[in-house]
Amino acid sequence: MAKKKRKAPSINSSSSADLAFTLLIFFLVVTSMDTDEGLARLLPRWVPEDQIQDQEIKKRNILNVMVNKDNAILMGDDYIEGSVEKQNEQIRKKAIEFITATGQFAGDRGPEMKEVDPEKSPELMKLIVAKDPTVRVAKSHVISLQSDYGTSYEKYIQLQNELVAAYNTLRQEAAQKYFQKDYDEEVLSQDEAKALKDLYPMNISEANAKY
Amino acid sequence: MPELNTSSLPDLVFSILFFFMCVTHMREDTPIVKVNTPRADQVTKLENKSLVTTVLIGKPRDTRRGSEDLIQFNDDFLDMKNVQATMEAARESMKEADRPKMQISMKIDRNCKMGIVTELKQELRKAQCLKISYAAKK
Repeated sequence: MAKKKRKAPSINSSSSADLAFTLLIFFLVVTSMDTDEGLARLLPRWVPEDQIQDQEIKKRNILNVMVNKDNAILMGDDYIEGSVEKQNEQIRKKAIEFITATGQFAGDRGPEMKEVDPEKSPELMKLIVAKDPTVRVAKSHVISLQSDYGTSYEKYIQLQNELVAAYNTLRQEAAQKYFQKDYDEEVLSQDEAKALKDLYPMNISEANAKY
Repeated sequence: MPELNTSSLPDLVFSILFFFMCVTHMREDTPIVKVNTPRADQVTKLENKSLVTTVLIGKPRDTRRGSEDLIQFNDDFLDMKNVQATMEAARESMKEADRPKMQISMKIDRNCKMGIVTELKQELRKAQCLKISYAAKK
């Protein structure tokens, strides 16, 4: 008797799509695609208290920004008042004036503007100073942000953000002026980005809160 | 009317599934403190997830723990005096090449006071964790 060739019955796979969909939905739910964003900072190295040396920084090179426990802001010699938007505008304007030693901080009242050191920042020398030899850099300026024990974190971040914004505004202006590009690490070449960072070096000091 | 051939649908769905499995990293520790990060428009993205250690500060969700701001690290509350040791241990557990690149992301509630934040920053300095990031929303 000839054996009848039997066809193996195929598995019904019509539900495997549903199965896969279920898994898919599970992964969709547990996935967090959003990458974390934040204001990146570098803390100063820890120095044991008996080894602390007072760094000599000339007074004209420091811009003190202070926030007290009532969230009132003192920047240089002036109070910053008004609504949050108004405050932000003032903070940014003042920081820009300080970094570039213009306006209120022109001449002796602002930080020392020094010539570019070709050894320390060759990119800046090559890309910007070659085009505009009058460029000066406020190398040793410091914006010192001081908070109180009771200052609200939201206010502190608002200040941090505006100070970063001041640098970014300046770098953006310079990027447009010298490279006709936006200040964006993806658009600029590495050397160009380095040159802009050297032109406006970010120097925000994270001073300790006063108790 | 001819029926639409759906035999390749599972393959299709599976490929999407694999995509999601690859890009997914499971939502990490469940927050036990309430954190609503402040707004800032100058934020930058954190480079590499595997280099980032997250610390949270906020009021505990469990009201029995009181209403003082507390630090959370890896599913548990972290005492200020243990910060240094914990952070050093966290760095030890990283790949040796990655250790100097370690970054601390501080997710801090907007209503926190600066006191605890400053103290934490001091402890991080003692632990040689100098790269930090204040988490904020756009």
